[in-house]
Amino acid sequence: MGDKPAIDPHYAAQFQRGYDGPVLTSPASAPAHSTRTDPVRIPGGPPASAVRVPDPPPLVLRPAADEEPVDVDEPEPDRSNRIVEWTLLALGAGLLLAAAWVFQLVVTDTAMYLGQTTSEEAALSMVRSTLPGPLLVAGIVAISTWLVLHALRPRSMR
Amino acid sequence: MIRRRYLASLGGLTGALALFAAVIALSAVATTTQMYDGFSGSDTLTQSDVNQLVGRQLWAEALTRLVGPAILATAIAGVATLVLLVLRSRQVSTVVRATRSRERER
Repeated sequence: MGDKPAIDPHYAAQFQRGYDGPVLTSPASAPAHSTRTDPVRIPGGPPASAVRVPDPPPLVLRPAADEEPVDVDEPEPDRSNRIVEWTLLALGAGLLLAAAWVFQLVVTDTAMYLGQTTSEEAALSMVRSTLPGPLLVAGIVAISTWLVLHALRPRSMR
Repeated sequence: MIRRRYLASLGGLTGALALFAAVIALSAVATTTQMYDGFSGSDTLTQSDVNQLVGRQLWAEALTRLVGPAILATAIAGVATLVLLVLRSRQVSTVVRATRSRERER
């Protein structure tokens, strides 16, 4: 019991952080395993220790326990989609204006009833008289689609 | 979540179209039934009378032809409004259910 086990050379002072003494590389200059060395006082005091664990964030930055996590991977608003949507709205408004314009042409087109038209003009007039309805429906469909697309789009992309 | 603003806009569009369709239908009926008001069969028509009658005829035809599309447009906007309403109510119920279950867990 009198013979205490030798200190593992890995724990020798030269392998400790902040050791500024001579580096012993050859086995001859290395301290013998059996030689016990007392702790060496390093001049200049203990080395500055590096902070391994960062400080916790301040309380105001910590998320609340019941707060929903923010999805950081939300897609960026697509510019082309936005252009398509606004084109849809402009198209709808244009179709409604066209419907009103054709309707006004139809109700003032007295030439067909008064026998002052050729057969081509009469055919054109008949085609024109059927246009306001489909134009109205197409315009309303375009505007409704625009509204639905806007309503269904995620809030972050508006 | 579907925003209430767009839902209200679509509902307003549907209402406006319903009003428009009603006005068109009533106008079509009125112009058709009153087409010959002020004239009788024994009248000798002047050119101005003929022009007036042709104008009434054109309005009656154009308005009658517009009644169907106006009703169709109203129906389309109404269906879109209903679909958005159903989607929104489902979203709201999902959120309410999630909130309740979270409170129960606490």
